[in-house]
Amino acid sequence: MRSSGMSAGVVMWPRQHADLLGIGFLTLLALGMRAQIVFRAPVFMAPDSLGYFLPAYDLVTGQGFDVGFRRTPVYPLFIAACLKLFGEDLSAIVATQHLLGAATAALTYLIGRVTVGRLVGLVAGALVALDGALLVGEHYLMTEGVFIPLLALTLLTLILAVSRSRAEQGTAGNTGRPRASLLVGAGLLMGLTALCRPVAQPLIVLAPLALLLGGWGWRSTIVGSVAFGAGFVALLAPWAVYNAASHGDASTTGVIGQAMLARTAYYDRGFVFYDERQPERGQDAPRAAARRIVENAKRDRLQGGAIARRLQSELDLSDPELARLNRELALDVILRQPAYYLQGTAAMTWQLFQAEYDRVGYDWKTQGRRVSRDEWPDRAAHLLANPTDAQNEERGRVEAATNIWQPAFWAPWLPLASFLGLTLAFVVGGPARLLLLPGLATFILLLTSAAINGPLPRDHYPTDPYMALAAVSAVVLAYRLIARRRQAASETQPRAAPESADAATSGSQPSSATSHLGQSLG
Amino acid sequence: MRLRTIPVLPALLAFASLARLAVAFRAPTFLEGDSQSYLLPAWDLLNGNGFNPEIRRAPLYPLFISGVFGWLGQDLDAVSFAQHLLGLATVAATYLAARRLFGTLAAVLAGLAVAISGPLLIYERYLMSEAVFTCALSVSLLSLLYALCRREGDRFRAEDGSRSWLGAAAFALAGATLALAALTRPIAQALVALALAAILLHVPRWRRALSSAAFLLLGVAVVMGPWSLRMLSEHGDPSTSGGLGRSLIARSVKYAPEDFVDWKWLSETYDDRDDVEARARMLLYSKRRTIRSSRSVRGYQDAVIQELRVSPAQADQLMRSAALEAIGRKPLEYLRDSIVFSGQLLIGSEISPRSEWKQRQDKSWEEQWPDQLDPLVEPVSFAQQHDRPIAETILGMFQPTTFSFVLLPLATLGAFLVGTPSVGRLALLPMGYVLLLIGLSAFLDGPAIRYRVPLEPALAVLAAGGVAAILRRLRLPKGVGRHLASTVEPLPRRAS
Repeated sequence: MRSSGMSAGVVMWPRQHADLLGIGFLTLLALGMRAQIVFRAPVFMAPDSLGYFLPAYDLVTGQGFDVGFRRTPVYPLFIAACLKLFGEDLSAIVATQHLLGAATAALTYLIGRVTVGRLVGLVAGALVALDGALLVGEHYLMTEGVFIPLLALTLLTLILAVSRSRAEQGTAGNTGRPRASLLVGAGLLMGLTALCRPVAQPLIVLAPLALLLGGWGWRSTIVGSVAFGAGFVALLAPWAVYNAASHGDASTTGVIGQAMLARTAYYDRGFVFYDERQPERGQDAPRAAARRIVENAKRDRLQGGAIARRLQSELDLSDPELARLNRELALDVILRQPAYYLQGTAAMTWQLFQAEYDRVGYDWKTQGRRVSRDEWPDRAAHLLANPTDAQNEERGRVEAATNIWQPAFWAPWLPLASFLGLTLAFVVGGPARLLLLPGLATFILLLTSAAINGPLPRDHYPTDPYMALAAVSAVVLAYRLIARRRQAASETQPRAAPESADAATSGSQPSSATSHLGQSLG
Repeated sequence: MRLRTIPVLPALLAFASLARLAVAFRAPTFLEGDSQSYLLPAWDLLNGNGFNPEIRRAPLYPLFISGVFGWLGQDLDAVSFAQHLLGLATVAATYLAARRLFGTLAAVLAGLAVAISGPLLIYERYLMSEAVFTCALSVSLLSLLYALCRREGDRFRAEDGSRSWLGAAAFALAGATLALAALTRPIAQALVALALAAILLHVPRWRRALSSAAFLLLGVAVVMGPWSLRMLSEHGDPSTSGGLGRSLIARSVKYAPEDFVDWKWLSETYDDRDDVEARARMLLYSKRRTIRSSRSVRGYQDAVIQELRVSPAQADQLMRSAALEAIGRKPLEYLRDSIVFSGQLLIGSEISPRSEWKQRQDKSWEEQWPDQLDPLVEPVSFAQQHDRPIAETILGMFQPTTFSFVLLPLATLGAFLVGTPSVGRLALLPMGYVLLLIGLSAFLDGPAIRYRVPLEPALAVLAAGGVAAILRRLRLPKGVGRHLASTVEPLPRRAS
């Protein structure tokens, strides 16, 4: 029957291509949101933006590539590629970052789809698409625009690498192997992510955890971790060698020293660097001059970067020497006040978990501030501009778009729900257990940020997708557990003699509505 | 691997996207004097001042601009960006249309040609209706082809006698897309007649042909009806644009040879009369040299409205009458010149990004346009100036008119000598689009080269079809031939 055959085909196509439709819907939703900001808002700038932009600009204009000791190369290379492909326009860079942001929504869906189910992926992906904090983060000339999608892709690849096929799940024992090529790929991606932001380096521990969560044995775990590690090292090693050759220090985390100084001198003023009354911190103690500078800067409420610049100029230090000194000063005060440090780190970690409301009003004038402070060298200054009249007129529209939803609106319930979701994922088991991977990544990232850097609000951005996934999973997995227990309870009850076929059916099986809902939630 | 098994369309769109992204931030939005006639009604609509485009302007492009401003922000670059997205849709529609008619290889060739076509890229950056019109034309061609190609046995009834709604919907959609094209540029109204002719010629049984035509007209009416009713209530004329008079003046005075209008006869006939028609003709006589030397007929139209104190609709009627009179006095010359103009349009000429850039940069648009539009026109930035050579290279890298001596014969081949049974005469449809619109442009306006730009996709489809026709007839080695056969042959139509 041609008519009904065609109609049936039209109806069946969405079911057969549900994932494609889901990804398409989320991508369109994310792009639609980003369209609200890309032409209306000026490019946002942080003080660190120049440190990423200038090496890229110099590379494109044939003046070499020198990110210095503090920076890692991936983001400047991304900027250079944008400049080369799309021209000297900062808007092109943030537009590309917004496109990557839309990809993040799709990747969030896929992570949810593979672990818990389509509904979780769809709802979490929608939250990522609508997330105003991510919109703002992608509009900054900062690493978040690249780090966030890279991290999502890395986690997805790792999850796919350790996922068992349905046939493997049904068999006893450790049959089959994790996908080695995907593990190496995940390692490479993790290396790329770490070369975008060094805070991702501790995430290397996810590989063995992933293999264990995936139900693989010790042998597979070791081999798989080695494969992952090989990919990771393959990217990080050359950069370490380059740093050793250029700066005499092989560290790939040159920024950590300054970050730790900010943590102990700016975000937390309870640490004592210099005190004349205490011999271990007074004039006769080691590095007295440096400690005195930091203590005075702390009193002046200077930020970490400003403190580091003051140290460098007053003590005439090179970049590696400064990084080393920053690290030593920070570690020194931490080791003297370890309990205070741990307590502060815990508080800051929880603060990061709750996120902070991002007001566009603060971000709006950042590019103009860079113009007025004459921070950019002449060769690149022509790219800066104040917000135009048209942009200022439409600022309200941008604010409205970024205020549709932000994770901070649901604090503290969102992080609490995500904890519940991860717990239930562990209890339920199966593929859902792999949701712990992004959950652990969230915890590691936020803890590392709090421990090393302080509660910098934008450090929360990369974890937004995974908190959304875990929180939505709490609802779905709770329903599944309850439904499973009801089913188990009804199966263990002795069956009465059926008076009719209908009575037998209704007593022993969940209602069709419930089973249908259960299927859609599964 | 066969060409069909590669995700060709996504790859093609990715390639087209790269070309567009490469210029999106490097080149400014190009402007014409006529751009403000689209921009102002859009700005008014967005800012609560109603929607009142000039009588000669169809509504869709100002509505498009208004929609872009509302969604992306009041930025001319946002309009260019949105037009680039429509350009991607044009690439996709061209690919699908060529695949339907001639097979995958032809589709790839046609899609590539459209993806990097310099004139199309340039006009996607223009604040003029070409980008929207090109997309609407391409989509209407595609939808009409699909509606006609679905024909296999019983179109609207299944074996059990129940109606197939998809067939009706296909024709209604084709009608709706034609109407969208007509609401972008009124000349596309003629394509409705072409579509009806195609239905009557292609659908074998007259009852089914009539019902197909009825659904097509329904689609047209649903989309065009509201605007036609508004035009009727406001101007007493339901046609979607009242600019025919101005176009005919351009045709008969600006573009025609200087001696086309018998000025001596005109001045002697109307000099002593005092009626409005005579005064309009004498005004035309006094401004004949200005009209020939200026870019448009706007000066004459404004003079008619102001000096004769008539409405824009009345002014257009007066201009139409004067032009038709001149044409009526020299019909053979008019026909001859129109055929020459048609040939000029078909052959085309290069559209240089350099001249468009210069116009954008050097003209002081703020002085010429209403004050409320001034904030929208930002100067060409230093970075754009710096990247101008790269932008011009990309915008000018493929000029189809350079190869007209090859492309036009190939297009003719594609239209007339395809010969595959499953496609049959449908390959004539894109040729019908080209000839009808070029002919009407030549007869009713003149050989303005931008009138050819929206027809480049149709020409690309036909030329690619010509390549496919040649390859089908060549004696190729077995492996190559088998591979090409799988890519050259059109897709089989759906089984009944």
